[in-house]
Amino acid sequence: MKLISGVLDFDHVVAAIQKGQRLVISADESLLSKLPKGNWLGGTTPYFMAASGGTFSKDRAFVQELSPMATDLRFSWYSDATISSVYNDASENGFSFILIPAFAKIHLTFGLKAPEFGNFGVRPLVGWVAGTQLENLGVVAAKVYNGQTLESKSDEAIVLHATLPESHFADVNIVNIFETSNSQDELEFLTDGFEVERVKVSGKQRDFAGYIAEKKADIRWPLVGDYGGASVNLSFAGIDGGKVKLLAPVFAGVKYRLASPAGDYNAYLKAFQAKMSGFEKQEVGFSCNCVLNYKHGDLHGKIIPELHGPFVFGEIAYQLLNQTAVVMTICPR
Amino acid sequence: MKVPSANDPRWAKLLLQGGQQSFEFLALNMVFTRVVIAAKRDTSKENLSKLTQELREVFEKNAHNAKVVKDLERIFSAGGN
Repeated sequence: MKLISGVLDFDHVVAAIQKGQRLVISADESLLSKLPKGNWLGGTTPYFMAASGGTFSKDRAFVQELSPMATDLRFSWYSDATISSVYNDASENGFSFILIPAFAKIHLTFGLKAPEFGNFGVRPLVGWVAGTQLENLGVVAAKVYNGQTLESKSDEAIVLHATLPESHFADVNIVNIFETSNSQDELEFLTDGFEVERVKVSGKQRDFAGYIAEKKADIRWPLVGDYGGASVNLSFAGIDGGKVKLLAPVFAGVKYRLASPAGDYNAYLKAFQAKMSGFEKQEVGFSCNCVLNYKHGDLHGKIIPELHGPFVFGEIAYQLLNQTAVVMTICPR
Repeated sequence: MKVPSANDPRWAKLLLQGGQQSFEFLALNMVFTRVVIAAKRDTSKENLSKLTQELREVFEKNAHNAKVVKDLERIFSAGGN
């Protein structure tokens, strides 16, 4: 049986909910707020990578159906005060799916503190940060939904905990198309945070905003954290006076470099295709991509065949990251 | 390969020798980077023991994943550490 994973109009979303299908629904608030009760959770974003290409739509939704192997579904709200137990509450063998409203306090807390929470790295957590039409970011609040109760919130995260049979497990992967060059300076930050003033450049302290200006760095491209075998991207939100604002936090002690420019759509397509090879033979349980890849890669109307899902405002693969695609596969043991 | 016990001295060596490891399993890269930074800040026996528990648990609880098996063998097989 083929699971739903694609763009549906309102009537088809309603029909899928009424059939009892278990769904993750990405759509504009105007659509999500009209859906009936059912086994679904949702978050606001009007941007999707559909089979027909990058799409902006307020009257259609990107719908992902959960694997039939997922059982014992538990929907829970998490506040800024309770998010620290999100991994502890997960099933021993399963996965958890989280949707967080952008710029809520819980977004910042999760971004900064998740790696210290109990069972981080032990129990798989994937998901994304909900947003709005890019022009309305910070003006219109992002929302996340519990379809079982039809509650929506702008200040809490909705989490779906699911259990998998002993025969299978969830594997979380990131697809990062950005590269760094050893000729780029190695950067370290003095404190953890979403806002940065000081940086150590190859061991020497200075102001980060001045460094970016001096290097004529294009802040459409992310900062890339060196996590050994994984590169973790953080996007620039802007520079305000002497403060460099980021969409995910830097961590003191981690080494960063500015990403090399990603190029145009063709470069994005080539990079994603190269990095997505291998997933086509697996059961993809969930995928999403960053709205900044949609924007800066000029992906509207363009196809990335291997990678369908919502474009979102922060990706979660265990921890918060940016300008990255996240893919969760369900694998046999 | 079995995950070494928490009192195996190779864990402390791994934590203190720094962040030159590259794992196939995503979460190991994240956890390892963090525990190595934490070990540099506080090299006390108690802290290293706590960090070892955290790191060991990621290996142990994900031992069904072929990527983790490979990472474990590379790190702890003869000559690996």
